[in-house]
Parts: sequence; C-alpha cells; structure tokens
Amino acid sequence: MNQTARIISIYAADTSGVCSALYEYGGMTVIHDASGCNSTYTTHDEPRWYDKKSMMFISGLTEKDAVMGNDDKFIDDLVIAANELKPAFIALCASPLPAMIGTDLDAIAYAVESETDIPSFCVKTNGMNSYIYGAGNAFLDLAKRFIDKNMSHKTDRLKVNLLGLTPLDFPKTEYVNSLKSFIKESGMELNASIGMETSLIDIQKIADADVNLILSSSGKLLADYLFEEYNIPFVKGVPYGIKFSEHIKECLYKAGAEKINIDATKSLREEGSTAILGESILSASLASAVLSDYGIKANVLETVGDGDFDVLKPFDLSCDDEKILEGELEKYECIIGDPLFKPICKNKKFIALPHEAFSGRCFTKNAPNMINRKIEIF
Amino acid sequence: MLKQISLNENKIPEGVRISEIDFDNPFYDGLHYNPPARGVWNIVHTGMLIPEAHQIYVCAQGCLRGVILTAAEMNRMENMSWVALREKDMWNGEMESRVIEGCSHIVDEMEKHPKCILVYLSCMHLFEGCDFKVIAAELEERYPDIDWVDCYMTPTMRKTFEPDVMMKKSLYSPIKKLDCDEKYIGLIGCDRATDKTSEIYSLLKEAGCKMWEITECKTYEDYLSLGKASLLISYLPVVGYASSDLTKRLGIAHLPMDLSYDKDEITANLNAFASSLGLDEKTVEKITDITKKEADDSMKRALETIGSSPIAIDASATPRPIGLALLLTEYGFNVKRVYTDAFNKKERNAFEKLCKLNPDIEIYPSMDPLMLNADLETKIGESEYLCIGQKSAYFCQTGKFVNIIEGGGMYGFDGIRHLGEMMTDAFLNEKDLKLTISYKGLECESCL
Repeated sequence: MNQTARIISIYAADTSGVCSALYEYGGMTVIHDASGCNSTYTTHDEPRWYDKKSMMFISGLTEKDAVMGNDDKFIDDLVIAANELKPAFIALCASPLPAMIGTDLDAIAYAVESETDIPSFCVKTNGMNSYIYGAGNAFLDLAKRFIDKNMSHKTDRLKVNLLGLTPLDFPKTEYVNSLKSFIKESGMELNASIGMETSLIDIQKIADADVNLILSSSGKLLADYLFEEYNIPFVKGVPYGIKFSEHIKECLYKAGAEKINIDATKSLREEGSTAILGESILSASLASAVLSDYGIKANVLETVGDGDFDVLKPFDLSCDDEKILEGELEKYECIIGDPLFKPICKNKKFIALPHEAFSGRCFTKNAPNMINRKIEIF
Repeated sequence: MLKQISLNENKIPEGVRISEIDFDNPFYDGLHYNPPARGVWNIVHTGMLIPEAHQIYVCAQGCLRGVILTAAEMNRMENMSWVALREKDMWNGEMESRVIEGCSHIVDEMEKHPKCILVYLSCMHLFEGCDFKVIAAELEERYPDIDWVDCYMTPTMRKTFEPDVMMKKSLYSPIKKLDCDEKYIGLIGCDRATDKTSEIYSLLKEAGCKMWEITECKTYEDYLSLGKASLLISYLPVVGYASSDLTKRLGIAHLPMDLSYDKDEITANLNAFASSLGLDEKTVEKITDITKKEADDSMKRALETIGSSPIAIDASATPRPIGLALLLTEYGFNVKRVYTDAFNKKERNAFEKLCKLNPDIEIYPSMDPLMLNADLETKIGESEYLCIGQKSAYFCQTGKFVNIIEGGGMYGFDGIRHLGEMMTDAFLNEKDLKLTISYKGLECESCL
C-alpha cells in the first residue's frame, strides 16, 4: 500500500527544504505552523543550526486562530519580529494545517511588506511534498526577487554557478569546499555558490555566470529559469570520483561554449546488478562515477518520489513505496543506500551511504566525501 | 501586562526583572524560536516506554519526519511505522479508511503482531472531524489480539490539550482493572526513573509496599500490572488528565504530591502519602530528620564550592523553576536568571516571596525570536554561569550545568540533597555543551 512504511524512514519535507535553501541569505523564514516543524527542521534537517545563526521561526498557530482565521495575529507577530531583527527579506511557508484551511500566505506577505518595507514573499508548501519541491521553489523565488542583471564582470575564465546545494544533500561544508576546489582546479571561476557558503550577493550576481552546474534536483527549477530568462545553460551532475569529475569539467566547457544544456550522466550509464538508492541527480552521478572508475554497472532507484526524473534511464526506477521497493531490491546483488534502507535489503550486500535528507544527522559523521576524488565506499 | 523583550545595543536580548513582570501573562506569545537543546522528551520517547508496543504515525510528511527520526536516533525503528497523508486525502473523504488500511497493511507486514499499537493521529484529522471511534472499532475487530491505543500529535490544540498531557493519558489507556493488591502502588506521570533514595521509597519500604514504575517494566504484562495497584501517586504536573481517566476507569484513588522545593509542601506531601500507606507522621519525621539534614549539608557544601558564581535555571529542568530559584536564594546562592515562557500557577507563592527576596532576578523567555541572539552575550569557556537545565546552559554558553529535565527524578528532601551534589559536580566538571545538549531525549539510547 502506498504512502505507508513498516520500517524505513521518510524524506525531509518541503518546509525543511525552504528553510534549508534560504538559510544563509540573511532573511527571516517563518513556517506557519503550530509547533514541531521548527524543532524537526533544526534538529534533524539543519546541521548549521548550532554554529551559524539564521532567523528561522514558526508562527505558533493555535486552534483558536486557525478556526477564527485570525491572520492579523500572524501579520502582527511577523512585523514585531522583523522590526527588531531587521532581516534582508521575509519568506513564509505553510505546514499542513494552514494549507488545509486555505491561509493566503501571499496576501500575508504583501501585508507584511507594506508594513515593514522589507521584501516579503511566500514559498508554496503544504508539509506534504518533498524537500526538493520546497528547496527548489525557495531558490527560484529568492532569485526572482533579488537577481541584479546589471551585476557583471569580465574574466577569461568560465564563470560557473553551483546550484542545488543544501545540507540535506551535502551535509558537510567539506563538500562545498571540494566543489569550489574542483571549479578552481578546472581553470574556471566560481560565480556563485547557491545554498551553502553563500550570501545574498551570490543571488544578486547569479545571472553573470556562463554556465550552471546542477548538483541536485533542488537546483533544477532555478537552472531552468536562468536558461529561459538569461540563456545560461546548465550541466547536470555531481563531480564524484576521478573520471566522471573530468567528464563534468569537459561538459561545463562545452555547455558554456555552445550554450547547450548537458546531462553529464547520460552517456555514462549501463544497466547492472547494483542498485543505488536516493535522489536522482546524486544517484545517477554516482552510477556514472562508479562505471567510469571501476566498471561497476549500477541502476538508480530514485526513492524521494520527486525531483529530476530526466536523468533516469529506462532500466532505472522511481519508487517511494516501501513494499514495492523491497520487491525491486530482491533483483540486485549489491545495494548502495542510506543505512535506514538496510532493513528492507535483507541478505544483500549493503553499502551504507548516508543521506541527510533521509536519515538526518544519524550517520552524518560516516558520510564520505566522494567529490573530485577516489571513491572509497567499496 | 505582557512584556516584549528587547535587544540591547549589542543585539543581545535583555531580561525582565521579576518584580516588574506579570505572573499570569509574562511574555508576548509571538513567533517561536527553537534553541538547540534536545534533551526534552517528545511523544515518541514517551510512547516507547510501553514494552513490546509499536507506534504508527498517520500524518503529513513534515510532521512524520520529526517523529520517525526521533525513533531512528533511539535505534528503535523496528518499533516505528508511518502512514503519510497527501493533499488528496484532505478532500476525498477517506481519512478514516486511510488510517485503517494503512495500519492494517503495516500489521500484515509484521512477522509477529505486537501486543499493543499506539496510533497517532494529527491536527489534520481533528480539523476534518475524523471519526476516531470508527477507526478504533474497525482495527479492534480486525486485530483483536492487539491493544489499539489512540494517541494524538495535535500541537495546534496545545492551548487546550497539551500534547504531553494527551500523551500521558494515552500512555496508560491499555491498563485494565485487575484484582487489587493493597501493597502495590503505582507511580504515574514520570518518563524517567525516580531516585530510589527518595523518601517516597523509604516510606514504601516502611509500609511493606511495592512500587510500579513504567521505567522498570520489562514486559507488556509488567506494564499491565498497574491495574492491580491500590493507589496511584504522581509528582509531575502533566499527569492530571491521565490520573483522572485511570481513577474513573479503574476506581483507583490518586494522590498528587507535586514536586516542590518548599520544605512545608514537601513535608505535607510526604505526610499525605504516609497516611495513604497507613503510616503516621512520626514515621515521616524519622525519615526526614535524616534527609533534611543531608539536604541542608549538600546545599551548604555546594554553596562553599560555587560561591557567588551566577546561577541560571530554566523551565525544561524542573516544573518549579521559581520554587527552585527561591530555595537557592534562601541558601545564599547568587541566582541571576530564570528562563521560562510562562509560570506554573502553583508557583505563585514562591514567585511573590522571590520578588521580595531578590527583585532583580531576570526572567527571560526561551521561545521569543530575539532569543536567537542570546548565546552571543558570551563565549563558551568565558561564561561564569552555573546553569540548571540545558536551555539556560545554551543561552549562558556554559559547560557548567546540571543536565536534567522535568526534575531529574529527584524528589523531596532527598531530591534537594541530590540536586546539591549535582550542582557541585556540574561546577567542578565542565561538560561539552554542544555535544551534551545535542542528544535527543535525555537518557535515551542514541545513534549519534
């Protein structure tokens, strides 16, 4: 039966995706929620919470305010907090109950902006979609609000944006540093790192890039927008391993020169007896990397149920149902996935690859860095 | 009058003097901030106390995420399942069948049926007017070998029915009436063990009675044996609804003996308990003559060690932070701050006394958005504070803190003795603040 799981975990929701995407931009992000969303996000979905300040709050919705439709209370509370904390912007998103009672967060954002003169907007969520949906829309809404197309500079090097970076897919700063090194060592210039190790200036100058590197499905909506509006092409793929990283480098130069979008994983996939579970772009990239470096043929079992399905091959599968997934996994000899999938991978060789969006902080300490280096999970 | 805290010129929140705050409405309840102190238990931790039970949560993905990962961090995923609600479920009129079919699917997937399943419904069910009785009746008919317990993850209702209060009621709802054992006493409402050195246990021993505590139940049958108790006692405040339900269903009397730091209140509680056990006040006196002195000695030793170092207390550490602040002030400790978003109504007397004795104590909220910057006041390693509770330790950025929640299982004069020892130890042996407060559910197993 779908929507049901006996023993496996569940992916982070859209509200966490929004907060994660907007975390470092100096704004105030508020989930319209009674209680729980903030604790869940800051405990399990946000490794930056202890060491890096960000204005992440909930509204504290009550039964009475929900029943009576008392939006004025929420507006007043937003204005009071914003006047004290002076955020660069105010972003609102909804948990299930406001979505259920039809709270008009766009109107609330408009009212708050009118009152405070602080740019305010709503990111569409309902607590029932995946983190990819929330983060993707948050990046897009933030960019639409803050892109400055006049910000440009000239350089001989290829200017690259890193898109789709959130700790839900890249939980350690070390990964971002490796990506930055990869760009630099490839003779390119990092134009903007979007989501982590970033600031609002990165968003403002994002249209100054020659090419976007989409590192996860959370960056796809923004990449599409930048292609349509600013003719900036994108390359999809995470530079895992040695040979695949080199391939991504070539793809970036090619995309920049020819103004074409490239799926770097496309030509480096073959059907195999290994299954990689997880988010589509990360998993397809790993499949391409292990094929390139070790000749291991792996299929992707996309398990979020959301994201960029274009990277999937006919032999891949998108499945967010525990029972069906368990049946599918019986076909494979080896499974690479988050440790919380292990209970449904009985009698199989299981290689643990922690994914923050699935198991939170449980196994972060064991998550390997595979970016632009030898993959050592086998 | 409601107070709105403000930031000083360094963007650090400023507290409100206790003498200037309204006991009934201390702070404005606006947006909520969540400090990174994870020791407080949630409904998952509490539900896991029932041996051989299983939990199923039926709610939206965002709500599921927190509870599922709570279980994952406890290494208890084998006791946890979920049914996710999607947008279509809000409109298709199938809320009840989604719960019933989802739970049935999960049970059918199990190799062995659990003896008890706690089914947690959400705010969405309540606002849809979901018929819980239909759900329970159907599941009981399909799986008569399982005790089905309706539980609620409904934070929207927290002003009328707090989730903790509802959870405590659900926690005991499978208990059925058994043949009464006059020598069997049930201690309810505590998620964690109570000190065996407390006067409660001393009196129990004098009366030749045995205690039921949920933390000591190894099997489901141990748990159900509460049904034979002749008396229920409790000392934490969230148990009122549960105790009235148990008394009504099982006909077992309940004696509330609230956790307190007031010597007269402690003595009165112990006398009432002794009377219920058939003991006289002289027995209490005999025991407390010793424990009172031990408490006094312990506090004086703590004062010698801690001296005039500032002390902060928060409401996650004890349901009576004001009473504790008063006790410590009376002993001569330099109590400077209390972090609480509201005051326990039973603390009014202590509040009024403290206002006179130490009107400069500062009261801070813990959830106000401005508290985001509270930890910036000082750097870890430079703070002079000794704190009681994780949240105050975080706000004051000190590794010198007593790591307890909900009173820490300490009760009576013996509890004061133990607390004094913990304060001394906390002052002398600094903890790794970030690491210690990162573990979710104090005293639970953790995979971190």
